[in-house]
Amino acid sequence: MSFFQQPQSIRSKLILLTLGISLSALIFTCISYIIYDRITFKQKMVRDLETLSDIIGGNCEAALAFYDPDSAAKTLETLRAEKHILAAAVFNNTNQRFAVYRQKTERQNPLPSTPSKSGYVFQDRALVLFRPIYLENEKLGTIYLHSDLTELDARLTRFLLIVALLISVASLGAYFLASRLQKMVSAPILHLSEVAREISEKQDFSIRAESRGGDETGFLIERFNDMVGQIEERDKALRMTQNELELKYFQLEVQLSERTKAEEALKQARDELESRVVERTADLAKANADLTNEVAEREKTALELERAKEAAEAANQAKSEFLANMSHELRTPLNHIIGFNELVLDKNYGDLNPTQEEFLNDVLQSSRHLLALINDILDLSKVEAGKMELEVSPLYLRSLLESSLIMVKEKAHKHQIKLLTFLEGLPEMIRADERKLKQILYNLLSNALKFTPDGGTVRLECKTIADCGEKPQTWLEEIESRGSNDEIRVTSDEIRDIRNSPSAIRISVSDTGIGLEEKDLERIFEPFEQADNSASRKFQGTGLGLSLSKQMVELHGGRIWAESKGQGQGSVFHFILPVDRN
Amino acid sequence: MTFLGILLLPAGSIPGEEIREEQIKAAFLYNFAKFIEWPTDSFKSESSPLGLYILGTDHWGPYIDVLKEKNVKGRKIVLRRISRPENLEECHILFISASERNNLRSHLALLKNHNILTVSDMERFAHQGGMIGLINIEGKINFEVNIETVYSSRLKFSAQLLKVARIIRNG
Repeated sequence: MSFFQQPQSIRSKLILLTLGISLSALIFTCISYIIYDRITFKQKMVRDLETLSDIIGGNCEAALAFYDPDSAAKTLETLRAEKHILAAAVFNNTNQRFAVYRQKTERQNPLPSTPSKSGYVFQDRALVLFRPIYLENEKLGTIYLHSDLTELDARLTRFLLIVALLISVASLGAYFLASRLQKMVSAPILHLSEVAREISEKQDFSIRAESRGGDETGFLIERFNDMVGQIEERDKALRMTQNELELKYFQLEVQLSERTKAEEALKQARDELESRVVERTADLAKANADLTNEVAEREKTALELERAKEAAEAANQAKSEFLANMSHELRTPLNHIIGFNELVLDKNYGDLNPTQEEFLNDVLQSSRHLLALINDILDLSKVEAGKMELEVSPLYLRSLLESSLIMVKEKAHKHQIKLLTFLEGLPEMIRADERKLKQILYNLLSNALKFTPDGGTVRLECKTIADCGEKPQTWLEEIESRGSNDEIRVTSDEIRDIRNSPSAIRISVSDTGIGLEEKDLERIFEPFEQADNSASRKFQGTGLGLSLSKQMVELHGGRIWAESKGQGQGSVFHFILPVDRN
Repeated sequence: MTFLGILLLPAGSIPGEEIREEQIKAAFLYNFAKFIEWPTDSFKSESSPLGLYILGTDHWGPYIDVLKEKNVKGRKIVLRRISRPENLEECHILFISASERNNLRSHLALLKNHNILTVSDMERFAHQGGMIGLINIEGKINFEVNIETVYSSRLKFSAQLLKVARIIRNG
């Protein structure tokens, strides 16, 4: 049946829907009614049979009362008019069969020999009823009726026929109505579908569907038309864009062909370049290999140099050690010489003539010079041998400076040289090696006195050149600017040493002496060097003092240098000491 | 009820126990009262008893006495034995014994307007103008009804009773 296949059109769907619903309702109603009717009809059958049994039983009262079975049998015979009663019986009050009735055609139905309890039973094909017969509250007996169910079955058959007829008629009617009425719903949709198909086939977006009502379908059609309108506009826009794009595409193609040509040229150029790069790379590799060889050779040389340097240093140290030992060995006999010489000069052992005294004085002076020389050599060699160590301790700076001046006071006085001091704003206590600091000061002061003519001036100045915590920059700039003037070179290492100190003092010793030439400003700090070799004869000195001072200042982490404006202009010796106030 | 059940048994229904003819006849008397209607003025009130009088020699034995305990249509049965047909105002059923056979004609004439059911087991009682005559046909008790006598009285016999009865007309 095509009914149960998926129908194709909305029309047949609507018809099927209508038919399905109406027929379902009809069939449900019919079945309900048949069931209801069957139940009520059975009840009616029972009632009818009860009434019949009452009538027949009542008519048998006298027969029972007066023991007249024949009369009862006659009464039962009246049942022959009732075709559905197949058998009947009357029992007396001792439950014995009193009278019986059978429809002639019926033999199969056996009659019960005794009555059952009052009531009815629907058997397979029959309704069986037992009912007592009373006369004035006394039970006379029981009547039994056996009815067949042909009427019930016939009724069912009739009903089914009617239902079949009804359904046929109703189906036809419903189909007819549905075919008409479905158009209300399907026609606009079919129209819409038709329009949509037309638009789709012709690709003509100017077509519109007709809207015929304000229901949802009408709304749908309006929306559809709106949408088609939008598509139409977009289609136009799209076409325009497409045209533009085609134009651009063409342009691009032209550009592309040009670019392809350019790329080919480029590729050629690149290939050339690559071959050149390969050549260069080969050259470079070769150069690199040469370089590597050279580096290896250089490294080898550096290693050799390092070894040579180590050997030289070892030799130097050996020399220093030798010098230290020698100085010590030399000092002992020299002290004897000086000691005994002084004893003789004190004239405790007899007078001396002037010539003797003069010669002995020469001996003493030379011996003292030799001792000083040896002492300096000893110190210097200690420094070079790395044996000199700082013995840092807290000390009073002012008293140290003053005591240094006392040491040279006598000599200054002798040559009428003025000693000036500028000792303002000094830290009270500093930490330094007192003995070495004293020695430095003594060296510088005695140098100044030595090279200053009579009546000159020697000035000792000491100030805190910078409190590192307050204005280190100024202080450093001062040094650096001086370095840039080539008056003194301050290496970055030296600056760092100063900078790392919490504070520093600068001590300057200036004189109005012979001065220094610029070329000698550094040389004088070398061992056994004086500005003028001839001067040593005139001015005495070991030539080791400045060198030692330099070593000791540097040991403190400080810096020493000299300044002079030239010959006869005097000179200034500065040294900076980083001091640890704590 | 059980006694009545036995009373109403047909002859020979219980094997080995003889049912007396008197028992059956007594049951018939009782059942007649049920199938017959008396005019209302023959009772003094709704609850007045039903009078069952036995005229003449009583040879019922004890079997008639059971009826004294019975009710018919809500009325008690009053059993009386009389020798003359007198004071019959409260009599509704008059059983005339066979001993009154010779006085039967005068008795029936006397009872003519009294609306009393007359019953007897004498021979040809109905034929002689009695209402119900009990007869024995081949050992089976039956009864005859003189329909004309019945119709002339105001008693109403039920159709069923008449259907069971043998109808006699004055001939």
